[in-house]
Parts: sequence; C-alpha cells; structure tokens
Amino acid sequence: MAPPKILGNTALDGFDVLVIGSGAGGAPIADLFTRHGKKVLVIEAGANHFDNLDQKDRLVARYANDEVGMSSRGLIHTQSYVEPRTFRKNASAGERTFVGDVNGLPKTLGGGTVHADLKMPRFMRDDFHLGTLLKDDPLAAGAAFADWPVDYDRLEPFYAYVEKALGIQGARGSDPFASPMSTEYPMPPGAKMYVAERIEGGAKKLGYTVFPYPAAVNSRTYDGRPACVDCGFCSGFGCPSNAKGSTAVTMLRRALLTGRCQIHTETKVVKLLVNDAKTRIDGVECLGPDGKPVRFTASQYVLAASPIEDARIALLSGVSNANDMIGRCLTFHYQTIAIGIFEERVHGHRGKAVSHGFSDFRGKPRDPNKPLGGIVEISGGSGPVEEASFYARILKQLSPRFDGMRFKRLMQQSPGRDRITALVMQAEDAPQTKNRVDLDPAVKDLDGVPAARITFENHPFELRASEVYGPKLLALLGASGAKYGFIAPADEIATSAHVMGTLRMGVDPKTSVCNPDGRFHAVENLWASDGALFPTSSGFNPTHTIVALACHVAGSMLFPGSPERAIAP
Amino acid sequence: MSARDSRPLAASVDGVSRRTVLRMLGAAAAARGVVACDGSDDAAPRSPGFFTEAERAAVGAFANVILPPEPGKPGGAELGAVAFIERLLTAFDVTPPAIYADGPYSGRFPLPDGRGGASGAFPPNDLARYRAIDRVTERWWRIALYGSKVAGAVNDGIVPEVVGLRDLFKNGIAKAVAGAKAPLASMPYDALRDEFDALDPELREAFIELVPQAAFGVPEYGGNPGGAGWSMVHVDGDVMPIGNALFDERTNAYYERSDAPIVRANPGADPDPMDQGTRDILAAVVAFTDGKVF
Repeated sequence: MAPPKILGNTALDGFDVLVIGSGAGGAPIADLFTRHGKKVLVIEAGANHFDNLDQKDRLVARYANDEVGMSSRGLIHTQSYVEPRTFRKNASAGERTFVGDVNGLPKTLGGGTVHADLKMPRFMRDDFHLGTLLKDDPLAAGAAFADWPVDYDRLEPFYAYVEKALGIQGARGSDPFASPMSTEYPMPPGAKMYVAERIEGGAKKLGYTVFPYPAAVNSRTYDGRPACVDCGFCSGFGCPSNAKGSTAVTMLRRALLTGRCQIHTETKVVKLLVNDAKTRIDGVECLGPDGKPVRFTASQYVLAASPIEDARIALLSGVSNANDMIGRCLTFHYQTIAIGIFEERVHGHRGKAVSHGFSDFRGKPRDPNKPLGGIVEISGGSGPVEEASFYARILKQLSPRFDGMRFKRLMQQSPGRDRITALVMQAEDAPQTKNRVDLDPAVKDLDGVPAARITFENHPFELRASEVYGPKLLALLGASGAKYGFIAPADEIATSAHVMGTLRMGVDPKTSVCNPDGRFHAVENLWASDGALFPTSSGFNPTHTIVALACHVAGSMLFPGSPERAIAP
Repeated sequence: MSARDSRPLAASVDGVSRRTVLRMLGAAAAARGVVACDGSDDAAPRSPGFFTEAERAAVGAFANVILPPEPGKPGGAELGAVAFIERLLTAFDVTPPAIYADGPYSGRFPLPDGRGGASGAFPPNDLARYRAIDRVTERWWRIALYGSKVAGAVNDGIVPEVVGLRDLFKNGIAKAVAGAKAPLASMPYDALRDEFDALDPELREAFIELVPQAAFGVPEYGGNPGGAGWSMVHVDGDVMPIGNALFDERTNAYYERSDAPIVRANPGADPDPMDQGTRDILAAVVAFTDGKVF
C-alpha cells in the first residue's frame, strides 16, 4: 500500500499558520507552533515515502540502498524536463542559455534533509558580521556583503536546541576555529572512516586540525531511532533505518503526534493570494495530487520551500516588491574539490559520506593570504552505478570509441570508488545583487506555471579562495599518501545543494526583503524561514543554521521580541 | 570503534556472508520468476515482450560491448542488461509502473542482533514490489519512455523534442539487426564494436548509461542476477539492515566487521590491483586537470 498523501489530524481547520515546504526551514515552524498549542498546515510539493510518520509506532522509511532508484532515476529529485529551471550567467547572455536542472533540491516530505548526509557544523561568530568586516576590502569590491540582523550569540541557544531536537553527533571543542557552544553535543562521534584516518595523517604533518564532522546522524539509540550502522548509502539517499535525523522523522513527526498538524503532500503551491493593498496574504492557491486546483487559508503564512522556489512563489504572486529585492543576492558555495586516488583500497564508500573535516581554510576577513574559503569535508567514494558514470565520462573524453574492456577493468580495480577521496572545500560566495532569481519570460512547468530563471556569475572573491586553497588541498593529498591528485573542473552551472539568499533579511527595506524576525517588510502575515533569509553564505554547510534560524523565526512569530521562549524547556 | 577479531565475530560475519550468498541466489531466482508479476501491489499481466528474440540477442550483444564477457567474469548480457532494459521500456505495463523499487530492505542481509552482531533473521524483500508515483513523476517517465510527441511536450519550441526510449531502442536495434553482415551475437568483439559505433549516438549513450545500471544496481530491476555484478567488482551491495558498523546497544560500542572494516585497512591482498592501463588513464586525467602524480 502506498504511504498516505495527507498526514496528521485531517479534522483540523482554522489553522494558525500555513507552511510551504517541509524541510529544514518548514519543519521547525511546525514543531514549535504545535508545541505551543497552535494549529499548523504544511503544504509539500513532493511525495511521502514514510509509513506511520503520524503514528506513535511502526515508523518505516521506504528508502533503500538503491542507486538505480535514488540516483539514476531520481526518486526524490525534481524531474527537470517537466519542472525546469533556466540559467544564464548574466543579463547580456540573452534570455537563457540552459533549460533543465539548476541547483535542484530534493522534492519530498522532509525536503533536502532526507537526501543530505546532514553534516551540521555551526557558522562562526565572524560569519554574521561580514558587512562590517569586509568593508573596503578590495577583493569584495562590487559585492553586497551585509551584516546579519541576528548574530551568533542570539542564535546560540537555537543551535543548541536543534542539536538536541535532531540528534547531532560531534565533539565540542574539537574544531579549534569553532565559536563557543553552551552545551555538549547529545551524542559522541560515530565511526571514523579509514580514509579520514589517512588524511588526518597528512594534515598533522602540515599543521591542520582534523575533527569529527558534526552530523545529524545517531551514534547511539536516540529519540527512539537506532544508531547508524554505516551502510554507506547516506549522501543522496534516504535513510532506511531512520538513524539520520531528517526533519521528517524528528520535528515533523513530533508536530504530527501532537494532533495539531496536518500535512498535504504532492500539493504544489501556484501562488499566494495577496490582498488588493498588497499588505496581507489571504490564502494559497495550489494544485493537489490529481492536478486539480485547491485553496487553503490560515492566519499566517511561511515560505520555506528553499530559496529559489520561495522567490519564484513570491514573484508569481505579485508580493510587494517596491525595491526589486526579491530574488536577489542568490548565493551558493563555490566548492573546490580535490580528488585523491590512493594506490591501496581505502574503502571510503563504507560509512557516512563524511566522518571528518577541518576548518583551517576558512580564512580571515581582509587577510589577502587567507581569503574566506570554508570547511573541508573528507569524503569517501560512491556506489558502483555512480562510479560507472564517472568512468564513462572519462573514457569518452579520452577516446570517441567506448573501450569496454578498460571500463570493466576500471570497475574491478575501482580507483574511483574504493581508492578515492574527495576533499570538498566550501567557500564563501560573495553576494551580488545581479545574481538573482526571476521568472523566465517563456519557459513553464508542466502546469503552465512560469519557471524560475537563475542569473548567476561568480565573483573574484570566491575564485581567489579556490586559487589559494586548491594547491594546499593537493599538497595535503600528497602528504597523506595519495598517488594521484587533481582539482575537479568546476561545473559551468553551479550544482551545489547549498542554496542561500533571494529573500535576504535586514533592517533596511531598500536592501532586504524580510525584517530581522523573518517577516516580509511589506506584508504583515508573510514570513520566510529558510536559507533564503541568509544575507551571506558563510563557508560552512548551511543546514544547521537554516534549522536554527527557522526556530528563531518561529519564536519571533510566537513570542514577538522574545523568540527564545519558544525553545524554553 | 574496536576491532572484534578477539570475539567470535569473524565467524559470525562469515556466516552472514554465506547466508547472504544463498539469499542472493534466491533473489536471482525470484527475480527471474517474477517477471510475470514483479511482486507489485497490483500487477497487471505483462506484455509478451517488447523485443523480438533477434532484437533481444542484439541488445545483449551491444551490452557486451560495454562490459565484455570473459571466462569467469560475466559480460553485460549475462549481467542482465536485456531484462533490465526491457523491463524499463515496458514499465507502464504494470501498476504501479516498474520504475522505482520500494524499500527499505531487500532481505539479502540480516537484521542486527543489538549486541554487535547479526541476528539469524532476515527482513522481507520490500524491493520486490514497485512504488506508486506522483502525477509529475509519471508525466516525466511517460515522456522519457514514449516521447514528447506522444506523452505531451513541455516548452515545445524552446527545448528539443524528446525521443522516447522505446522508439530509440526499437528502431535503432531493428535497424542494426537488419544492417548487420552477420548475427550480432556471434560477431567477434572488434566487429561488434564497429556495429556499436554505427548506432545512433543517443542509443549508444543509452547503452553506456543503462548497462552499468543493470550490472551494478539492485537485482530487482532485472539485472545483476544473484549479485554477480557486485561480486565481479568486489561490492557487498545493499548491506542494510546489518550495515558495515556493528553496534552493541547494551554498551553503546561500535565494532568493525573484520572482513569489511571501516576504520582500518582491508585485510588480505588487494583482489584487483590497478594495472598499467588504469594508471595510464589516471595519469591522463591528472595531465588534463593540471594535477599531480605523487
């Protein structure tokens, strides 16, 4: 039997809040609103792949160690032919240069937290003040760096709440660059991967400090969910055992079990219904699972569908945009990926995708020798189907004729899976007002709704970080005993799943879309609660900060001026 | 994490492996037997077959271009590429369509015992049935398989027409069979490779993409019989629910599988060391990317 499309208390009405999106930004709203006795309606465009998420017992994730279903056929991916996005580097490139998948995030109940391996470092204290710290920095010329209207100390208790709510493993104090934490992680680190052991050996020689990567993955039985057994199908896969603390099996589930939450899946928001004065939202117009129109109403509305979709929905709806800031300052992370191949098998495909990392390349504001890179993930290999694609691409580059025998030998000898590591450095993307989301003038989805168009070009700021740290990553591979090392060529169209900006928060409506609490400046009952609010991208995986900030938004909605009351024990 | 060589875990894990092999052989037999029903919730009778016997032989021959057969090392045909491709092309002959296997477990590996070992119990094979898909996903797969002219184009005039995989294979294979100087399946490798190179480029790409999926994906899609593809490339496969780390709930301790460690180096000799051909390719990649050989 297929999992239900509507979850929770189906008798509810008169909702206090309607949340668009059920991932890292939406689930915390549902969690905290229901915790405080409010009624919540969640609208999710993707499908539900859980049994009994809204029941106390017998929770089952219908996700498997299935590369064909998840990776090749994209079970929870947006199918980009029928729901395309378009891309161009800049306005002078024409209306678009590409139609298809542009920074697509998973579309499913639980959003991107289902497929991610949920690496959850916090941002650093300085990350919230780059407008000030990079003022007059010549490398940042032309960029739109801004201070966050909330800082690390304001968010710290929310970070701590999320660490317990999702169940994050880690070792406080192990990252020498991390900002202070008021509490311990609720679980110690899990198994260290052999490939991380090898890289740590090189890092010690070069003076870098490798630490266990904080991750929302159980290393103990926690919150009724089992410990991770390191199946290796983590990044890009739903967790079969629910050891991974996606927002679906943690916050959404808690919200559902209160009896005050209802979730509609396979339901796509077409537009917000804005009043004539453009000061309020009166409802949302959707297409239900059968494609037929359906409307929902609530007292307050929250956009949490990820930054590109948030901006698209706001623009489709005609939300007040007097300063033309909706969709602007889109950022990703400019990732520099150093591939190392060892002579021996280092079996990085066993275990979580990443068990360790280091922060030595985060850099320092205004230090030309230490540009703002980011945390480095020590990654392992993939599964054999993805490995095969890797070899096929290489072989096609080397010869127009497919060399089947060599392909077979590569699969057997496995340099690209069993002997590989990837050192993935995140890096601060300089926000630029010209990098934006708007509506494509002609391309539409299968329902005739205009597609999001992404205009994006990298700034020398992040390219410089890659130039500086790329050779250092290669040197680390050499020091760790790798035989071959190279920097993976950057994709012309960013493929990072770290998507931020578009509804940036700030004090000044001329340079921001939402106020410091996350509410649209010009709309009294519309809020945003995901990475869209980020004024800057930092150099760390954004999910932890997305969830913590969403909790802060929920707190601001529930207890204006005292958001911390929402997470009080 | 501790190594458990001092405990009788090695025997336990080896025991798991033996049962796993038996299970996988069983799964392969089941996979062959369920072509008629696929174990799906509401399986309709399958069509008699998308390809003719001659076309099926040709698809198998071309699959062997991607993964050539050798003594003791199966090729693409033996690894189930024909069944895999045919099942995909006829996915909508059953309900739910044969596109996404369900989950979470295949039953090839056992449940953990909670004490850092494997229990004797195996979960049922959830992957043997397909899962229902939403209307957006269905629309895409109908376009992918039947083409945008039949299933309805989106953004016609802006993006190119999608030629359905069914037409791509049916027409391309029929043309190859008709034009071949000899039966494709009996051709020597070099001659077969020439025939492969003469295929429509899109069809060649489809083979390059689908044959490895068949060979190394979970067997429930019709390929990788008995996990033979995984064995050939030294992959355990879908290891859940036992996983690679063994967890003792009583002591909160993790233990390594001695045959497949996480923290330590693999035991024993490398089953397939890199040869000069692989090194040459890696050297070429390094040269192309301005990397380094250390």
